Amino acid sequence: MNVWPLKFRPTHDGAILFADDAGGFFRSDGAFLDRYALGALTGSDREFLSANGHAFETEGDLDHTGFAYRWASRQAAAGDLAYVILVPTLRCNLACSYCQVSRADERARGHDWTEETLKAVIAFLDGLKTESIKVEFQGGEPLLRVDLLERVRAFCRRRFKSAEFVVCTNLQRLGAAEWAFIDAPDTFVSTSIDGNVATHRAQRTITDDKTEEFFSNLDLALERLGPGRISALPTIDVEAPPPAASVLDTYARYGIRSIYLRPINYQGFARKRHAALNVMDRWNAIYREFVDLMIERNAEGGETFEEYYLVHCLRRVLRTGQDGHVDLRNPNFLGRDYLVLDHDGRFYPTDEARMMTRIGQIDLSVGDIFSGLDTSKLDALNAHATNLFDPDCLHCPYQAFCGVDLVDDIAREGRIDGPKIHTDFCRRHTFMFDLVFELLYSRDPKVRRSLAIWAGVPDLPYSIAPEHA
Amino acid sequence: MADRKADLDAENSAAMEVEIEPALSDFAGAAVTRLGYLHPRATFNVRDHVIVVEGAIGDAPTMRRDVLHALYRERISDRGEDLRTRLIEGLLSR
Ligand code: SF4
Repeated sequence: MNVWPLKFRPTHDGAILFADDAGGFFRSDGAFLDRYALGALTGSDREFLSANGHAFETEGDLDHTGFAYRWASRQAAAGDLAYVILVPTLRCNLACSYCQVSRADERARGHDWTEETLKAVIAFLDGLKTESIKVEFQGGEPLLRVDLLERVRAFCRRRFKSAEFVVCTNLQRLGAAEWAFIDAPDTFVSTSIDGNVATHRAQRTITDDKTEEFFSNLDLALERLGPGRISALPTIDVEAPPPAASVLDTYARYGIRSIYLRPINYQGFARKRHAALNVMDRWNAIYREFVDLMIERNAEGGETFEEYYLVHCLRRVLRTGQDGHVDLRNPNFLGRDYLVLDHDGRFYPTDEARMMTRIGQIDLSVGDIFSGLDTSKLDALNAHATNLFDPDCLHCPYQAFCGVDLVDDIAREGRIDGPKIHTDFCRRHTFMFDLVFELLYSRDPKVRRSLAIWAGVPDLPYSIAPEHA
Repeated sequence: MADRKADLDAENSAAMEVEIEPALSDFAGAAVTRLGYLHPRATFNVRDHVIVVEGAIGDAPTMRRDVLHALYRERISDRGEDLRTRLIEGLLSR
């Protein structure tokens, strides 16, 4: 019998988690680890490994083929370019404390697409192979140039078989034209609610008038569009987080049950200062508090909550093909199926790459709308786009579920070839998958109820999390 | 500052030895290379049939476990390399 290599990691409660390259996993103990690593498996070990898809007899037999199929399904296949993030203006009518690098003053000049840029954007979209497009408008505040948004949308509706639009807006000043734009059924709104009213005011709107304007526009948007077409996320200040309960209450009040918790993404010097304050550990503690509270609330019945990214990680453990989130997939080739196009016509592989270029940390632009993509730069980055051969990931039981974020590595570590295990990306995802597996192996009925809700099944059988004694 | 230096000296004076099972001896070199960057404030050297750890050892049982696990991991990935290579080559040639 041949056993596929098993990666392992001690768990919080003294057991050991094992996983193979295709994402099959189980828990056992140190005695099994010793037997496995030293080549002294017992009959019952072999029986267990065989029954759970971790072994095969001969190459090409059913077990081998099944494993190969599962392994292949774990690899993200980058399709045609079908998702573009467009930044038609950098100007914004708010000045949020942590957003100085990605905005310009509302009255500033030279921060919008020119007519020439718009025409080039439309020609670029026209040249795409895909028949189905998703366009996300970001800024600045994109609705300040609703005229440009209208022209792009009108073109896409004609050109593609299916087209979906997302406007990332602060919902601040909405006139008839802006409302008409977001009212369309193919258009979705993504906004920010920074926890509760007080935090939102402190971090974003500053004055009572602007705070009132935002929350009344949010009410109106929910009434006109329905909660299914509005998503919101809170940006949490790790040094002054709002109470978890008040954030859940605020989101519940607006009928938003899926919350994507994110810490403030500091740039430049602010990032260095915060890195010294051990933000990661503090963030993980805050995050955990939110998840625990969601589990408590979900156990009470009624409407339920989920943390978007935790559920995404959970689904990546339980199923293959969960590659829709561009920050977590493997391989994660840049500049293939999605691109960011800035206000000056420059392409970026991700929004983070755009920020880093703006603050002068490194130029990660990959060409422009007039002369095309800089494929040599993309190729240089993409040489590291997989975790398959990384010397840390190769030993990590989370490899099949985890991914690669090259831009994040450059932003935080200044390089993409350092030890993965010391990167922010790795530390964050080690925490996330530790949490997922802790929950999966929990016997607490409250946890199991939440897991079933998040996995989208009526009941989660214990067999989903195998154990080998 | 003086206290900090004293702390480091105290850490640096610590040393321990972890025995290498014969089945793992071929993997000691690779294991100490990896341990060196996992624990940058400690040093790891292979001597006869032991790995000698010096410097910031921290919790001794945890360090002992980490050394053993590093040896295990190198052996597992070495033993699995052929299976992995053939799997990937097989899939890519289809
Ligand atoms: S990045 Fe870290 S958590 Fe993810 S697979 Fe690699 S070693 Fe594991």
